[in-house]
Amino acid sequence: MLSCLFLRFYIFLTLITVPHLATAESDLWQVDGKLELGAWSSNRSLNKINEGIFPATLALKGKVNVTDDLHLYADGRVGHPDYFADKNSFGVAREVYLDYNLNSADIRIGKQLLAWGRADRINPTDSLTSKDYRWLAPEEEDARFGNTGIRYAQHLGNYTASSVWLPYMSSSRIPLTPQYVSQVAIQQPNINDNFAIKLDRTGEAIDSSLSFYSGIDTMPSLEINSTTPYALSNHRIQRYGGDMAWAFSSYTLRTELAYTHTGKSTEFSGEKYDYFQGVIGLERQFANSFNVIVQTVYQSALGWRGYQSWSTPQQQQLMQIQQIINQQPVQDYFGIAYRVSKKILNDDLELEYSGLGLTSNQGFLMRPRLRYQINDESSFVLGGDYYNGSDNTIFGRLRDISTVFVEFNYAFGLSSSKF
Amino acid sequence: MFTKSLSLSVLLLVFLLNAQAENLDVQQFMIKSDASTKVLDAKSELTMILENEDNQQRIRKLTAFTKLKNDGVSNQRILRFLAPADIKGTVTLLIEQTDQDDDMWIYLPSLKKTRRLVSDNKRDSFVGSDLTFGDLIGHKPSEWNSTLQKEDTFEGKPVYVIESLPKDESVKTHTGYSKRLILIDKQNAVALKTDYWDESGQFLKTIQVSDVRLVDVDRSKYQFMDLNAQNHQNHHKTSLHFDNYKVNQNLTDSLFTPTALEKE
Repeated sequence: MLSCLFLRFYIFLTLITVPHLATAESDLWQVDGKLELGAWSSNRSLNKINEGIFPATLALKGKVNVTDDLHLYADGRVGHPDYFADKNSFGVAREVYLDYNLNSADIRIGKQLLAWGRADRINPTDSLTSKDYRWLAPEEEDARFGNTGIRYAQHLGNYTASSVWLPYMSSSRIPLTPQYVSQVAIQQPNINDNFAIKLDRTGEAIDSSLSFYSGIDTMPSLEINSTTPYALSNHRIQRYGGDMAWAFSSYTLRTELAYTHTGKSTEFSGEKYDYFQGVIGLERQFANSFNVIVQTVYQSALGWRGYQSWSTPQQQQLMQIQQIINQQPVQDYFGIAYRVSKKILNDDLELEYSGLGLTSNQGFLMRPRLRYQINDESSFVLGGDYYNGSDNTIFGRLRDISTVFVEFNYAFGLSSSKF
Repeated sequence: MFTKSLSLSVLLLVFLLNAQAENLDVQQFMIKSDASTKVLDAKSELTMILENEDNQQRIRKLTAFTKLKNDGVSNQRILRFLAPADIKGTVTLLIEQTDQDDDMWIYLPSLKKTRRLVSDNKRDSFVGSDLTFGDLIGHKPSEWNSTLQKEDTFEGKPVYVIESLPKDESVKTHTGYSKRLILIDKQNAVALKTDYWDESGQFLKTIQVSDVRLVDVDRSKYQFMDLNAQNHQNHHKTSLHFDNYKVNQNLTDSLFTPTALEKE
């Protein structure tokens, strides 16, 4: 927490001490906003509220060009979780950072979203972003939020070496069934030495990277707690990863692999088992903006024990839910992820159908979307999420948050030159 | 007597022009045409207006940067969207390659990621416009069989009318075009008007440029300030207007890398 305060103070100090020099860009500052009004048949919190949710959110993104090379960015949201219900409004900063561009390097300081991984949507190497899985938004990318720290990227021809230190990281927020909500203490991560390095190579048909991360697992684990029955905690992990995207002819081969060492201490401790996760798939571009992506997902947990091998029913119940939350309900599983999209009417209308099905009877997810751009400012998204599987599977547990929705968006922009 | 001499002179001129046309190395001329607008580097502001058959308009603002690679032939191009809000922050990087598929990337601010695009994306509409990614990168003369059809005048300028057919099925598939009919200014080799036929041989669209300016006197490089594209199948139109077009800006190579796209 001290590190976070220090960083915020540093950003503030930098802002007030750097002179506001004339910039090459015409606008000293820009703000882009998007008003999102939605109607959802269910929320994503597993609290059995499915009589209709009507969230209203104002998403704001701002940029200040302090000098030609120094920029301040901010991305936040304010809103109300249901404008027909008596609930508290919310405000959240997804990103607030300073970006300083040198000739062959970039330094970024502050709360920032660092999305890693070249596979489509399933990214085993994506260690640095946190997500609010309960967030009601049509696009899952909107559920991500940044963590606070420093990133330094050095560019050397086709290579970029990045080093990241994130002294303050947040846990991802996951939906919990009502029976657990009152019994689970949510512990804030208290590990400050979260760091990562990555070497990227781009160009000449193949883009690739190798990465290493040591720090908290942003995905929390459920475990027994001394004061409350259970706690959600974030444990330290080390993750070794790599990815590649290779474009050839009409295809792009995307692959991403990671081995995660969790250092699981005891049989009952909440850490995940060490595991390997890999994604490999092909993207095919057909005529007239018709795109198909099919990926195979594989995960294997090392030293895994089924919950049935524990002796008491209480232990078995805990281990079962722990393994589901840890996304390790079985030792090995395969999955097929797909995304089919088609743009028509000069990109004004986009139809998308995506999903993921897991072997070992772990269930499936389907997500249809229809996006229509009415004009430069207005658009709407119509869609749904459908989860299915038996009770003791990841997707089976999420059955109750299957939903259909419509969201209307109105976008606008302001800048210093318009005043 | 004077009239007879004039007639002879005209006949001689026509003969000489025909001889010139017969001697025209069309393939070389296509290479010259391709190079006529390739400046060392340039930056500019663009306004793109999309208009559907109901006359509904969408207006997009961009900044564009181009730089010739060290081989002096292949182009690199960055297009960064400034407006409207739904597309703002999207950046594309197009790198022409002489002996392999062109490289294309797109940075999507919502994903916070740069994605490599497959070469078949070249046939896809560029952000809903009537231009494809391939139209923006440029069509390699070596991939097309070009023949001179006739000589003509277009908007008062003498032009060669050249038909270009894809050399093989792969070029046809990657570009989405089965034929192009190009009107090229004889004087500066700039393509003024191009008709396109789709893969099935149907007349698809016309792209026409205007306000062609000599932007680099030393290297004899030209740039049009206006482009109009019309799709004859869906009656959609795109117009592109260049502002503040500046050449020889000493743009660095590091600007034309996928990692540079992420600098919002």
